[in-house]
Amino acid sequence: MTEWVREYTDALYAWALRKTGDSHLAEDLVQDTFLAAAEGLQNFEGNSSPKTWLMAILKYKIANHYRRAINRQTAHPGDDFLQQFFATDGHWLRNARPGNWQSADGNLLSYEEFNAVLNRCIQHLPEAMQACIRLKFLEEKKGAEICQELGVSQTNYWQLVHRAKLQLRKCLDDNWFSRS
Amino acid sequence: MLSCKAATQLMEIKQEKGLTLGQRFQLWMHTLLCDACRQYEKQSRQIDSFLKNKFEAPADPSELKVDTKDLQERVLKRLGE
Repeated sequence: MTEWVREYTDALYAWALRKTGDSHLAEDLVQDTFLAAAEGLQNFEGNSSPKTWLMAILKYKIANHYRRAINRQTAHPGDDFLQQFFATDGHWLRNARPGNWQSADGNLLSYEEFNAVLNRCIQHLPEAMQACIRLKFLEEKKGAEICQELGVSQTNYWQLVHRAKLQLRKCLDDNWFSRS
Repeated sequence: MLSCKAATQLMEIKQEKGLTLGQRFQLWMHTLLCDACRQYEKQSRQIDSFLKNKFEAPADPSELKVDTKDLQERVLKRLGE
């Protein structure tokens, strides 16, 4: 195990950091991964490389972390959240109507500044929405599959994705696309 | 006629699992007439691709700005090795 720790910590940590955007969390997850690996060593059959095996454990640990975050969300997301965006008849509030994004193009992520704004916007999402978005893109899973794993209803899942998107869009709009 | 709230919700379902014929028609009608929702749909796709790029880009250890030596030591200590 010592050799594995020396050899693979960098790769595991890089992956965890990329997926979580949180260095403390990434460290904890890497640590948990090695502990689980040490405990389950007899399950390692050697038909995959140690790295692949450790990665699989890490991926499971990451997904599990977000799963728990969503399950912790006890209260149903309230309707007042949507009142920031929509009037009672369900149409856009005047100040929330999406306008044109002039500078949007596919290369934005190469700009460090934009990436920083995007990160901040993701971090500002309520925990359950953040978890939902991260899980959605973590392993390119489909909604139904995620719901099943999470034990949340489909309706609740779509609500979370919808709300997360509304809030992210607003945050990017305020802090990037429409800033003066 | 769909509300904007319902239309933007359907857009998420459309992206991930697809809509029924009836829903597709309703959404098509709505976005035909609603400029704000047309913008929203375009931006929503863009956000999806930002997120996709962000989360799916391969993690490269050489990009690491931190040293994992400390972490390695902590892990080994926990392992009792």
